[in-house]
Amino acid sequence: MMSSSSAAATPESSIALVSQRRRAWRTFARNQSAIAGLIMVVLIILVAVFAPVLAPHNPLTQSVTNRLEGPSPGYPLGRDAYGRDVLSRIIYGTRIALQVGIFSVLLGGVVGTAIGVVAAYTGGKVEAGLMRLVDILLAFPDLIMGLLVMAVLGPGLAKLILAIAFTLVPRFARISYGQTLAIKEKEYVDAAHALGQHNRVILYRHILPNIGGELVVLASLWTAAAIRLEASLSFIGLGVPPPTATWGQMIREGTVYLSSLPLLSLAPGVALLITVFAFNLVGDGLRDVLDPRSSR
Amino acid sequence: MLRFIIKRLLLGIPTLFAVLTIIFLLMRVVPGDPAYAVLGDYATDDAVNALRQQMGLDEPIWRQYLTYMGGLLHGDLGDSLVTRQPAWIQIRTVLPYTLQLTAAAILIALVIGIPAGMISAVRRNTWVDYWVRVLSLAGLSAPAFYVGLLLMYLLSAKAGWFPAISTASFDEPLKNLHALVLPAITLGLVETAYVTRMTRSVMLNVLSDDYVRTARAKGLANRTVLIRHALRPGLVPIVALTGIFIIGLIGGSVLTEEVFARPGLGKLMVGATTRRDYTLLQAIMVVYALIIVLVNIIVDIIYTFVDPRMRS
Repeated sequence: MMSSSSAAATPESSIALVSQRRRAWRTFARNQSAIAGLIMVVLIILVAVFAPVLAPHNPLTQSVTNRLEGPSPGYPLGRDAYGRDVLSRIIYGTRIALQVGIFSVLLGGVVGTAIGVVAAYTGGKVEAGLMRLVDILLAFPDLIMGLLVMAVLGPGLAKLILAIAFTLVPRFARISYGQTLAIKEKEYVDAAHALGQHNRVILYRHILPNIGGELVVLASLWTAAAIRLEASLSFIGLGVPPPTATWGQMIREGTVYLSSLPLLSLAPGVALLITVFAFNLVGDGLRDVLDPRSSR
Repeated sequence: MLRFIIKRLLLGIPTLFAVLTIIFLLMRVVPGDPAYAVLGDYATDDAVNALRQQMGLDEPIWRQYLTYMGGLLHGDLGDSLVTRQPAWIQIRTVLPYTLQLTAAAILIALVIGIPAGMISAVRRNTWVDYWVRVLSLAGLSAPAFYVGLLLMYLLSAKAGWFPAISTASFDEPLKNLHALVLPAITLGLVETAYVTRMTRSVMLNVLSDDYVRTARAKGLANRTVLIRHALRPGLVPIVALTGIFIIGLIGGSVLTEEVFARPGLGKLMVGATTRRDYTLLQAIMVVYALIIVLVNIIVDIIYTFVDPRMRS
């Protein structure tokens, strides 16, 4: 319904958008570490999707007689205190890490961006109240906030996603608020207002596309943070409850056998490190695309 | 200056008030009954009711709020649900350990992080810069508990240089310091990554400023330019980012204490969470809130001190 009024403007702006995107992609592709990160992220996603095919054993099958066995051809990373295959548990753990990382960022991103944009757009008491709240929430470490919310909600995958999203909401709100404030003052927004466009049209056509770039960069960096937070909470014992395989919990269970079977906790840690590092690399690369001054 | 400090302290009061209210509300949205959570699902109704009465849960929420705020005003953090002792007693015994750990970690992070960030910025796009960037990104990716575990494996389980479990009281200073080394390095390294990246990006901005070019153009030695003309203005944004740095440090200290089973506020908090000791948890949150609000005020004051433009 709104496209008919501006049909003439569409082709031109989409051409500009394509060339801009291509230029952005070129900047990104020139950054070797960012490409390495992207390849790693794709591989990790494939591992999560094809976990049942890749895992040599069922991650939950226990075998008390084989508990705490060292690496062997059938069990390359050994078996844990319940005789479960460590490698298969790491592979399945990828699923939890990615689910929590991606869904908490999506949820936190949508809610946070909505709060930020609304605050910047309405102004007045709503703005003051919302942003004050956001600043207060931002002052707390995400681990402590996550821990508190998990303590209140209790264990579970959905609750974990909710808790981590809760720590991301103020971050997204702060960024989208600042960006919206800056764009709100631009001439083309004034022009759109003068042309009598609805606030909602202006929001979808001008505001969101313009703050989207920055939000995507932060989304990839904060996916890394979310996965790290998931592992931290699981390590403390506040994540997805056992027997589901999660990296944080595997690391915790392995600490008891650190001197005899270090692989039990060090191996899932490597998986965690690689995953978080990959998302950070991609985020860093994307940031360079948006802000060339930050790196080179 | 004094007037500014007083004004800033007064401004902290409404913030603290709002924070305490948020903590109160968060603790009250516990699904189900905290009394059941403490006593377990098979508790008798009488026991639950008695506990509810003792916790003040049978009163309307506004009265609970007033009792809570009134108590805080008198310095009363409430009693632990599990030990039935004032929460402050437990907090007071572990707080020095957390402060000692964070102080040591800050020292490590600044001493390594600021020079590393500067070198990386000055030698931009060389292999030194490349390695500093990769290592600091890896540091940001590693949670404190994993760094701690690695150090524990290498230096404690393998080399046997340090105790794996670091509980040593302040009465034995040497043992206490020995036990501090691994946790401090753990927390320090994680924060070093942050300081390095922050210093690097700040210095990159400063180094491209006109007055730095002018200083170079008039033939000053490279070191003079860096220390006199680049580091000093660079310190201002670094101070401004200290608040975020401290927040990260507090989060990291929880994990570090948990890995090394070291007494501290974070360890106490995790314990309170797993034992469902909601009142102790609430008291610890209040202490964290106080620390965070205070740190932010101090950072603001230092900031105006380094950057006179902010004083107005």
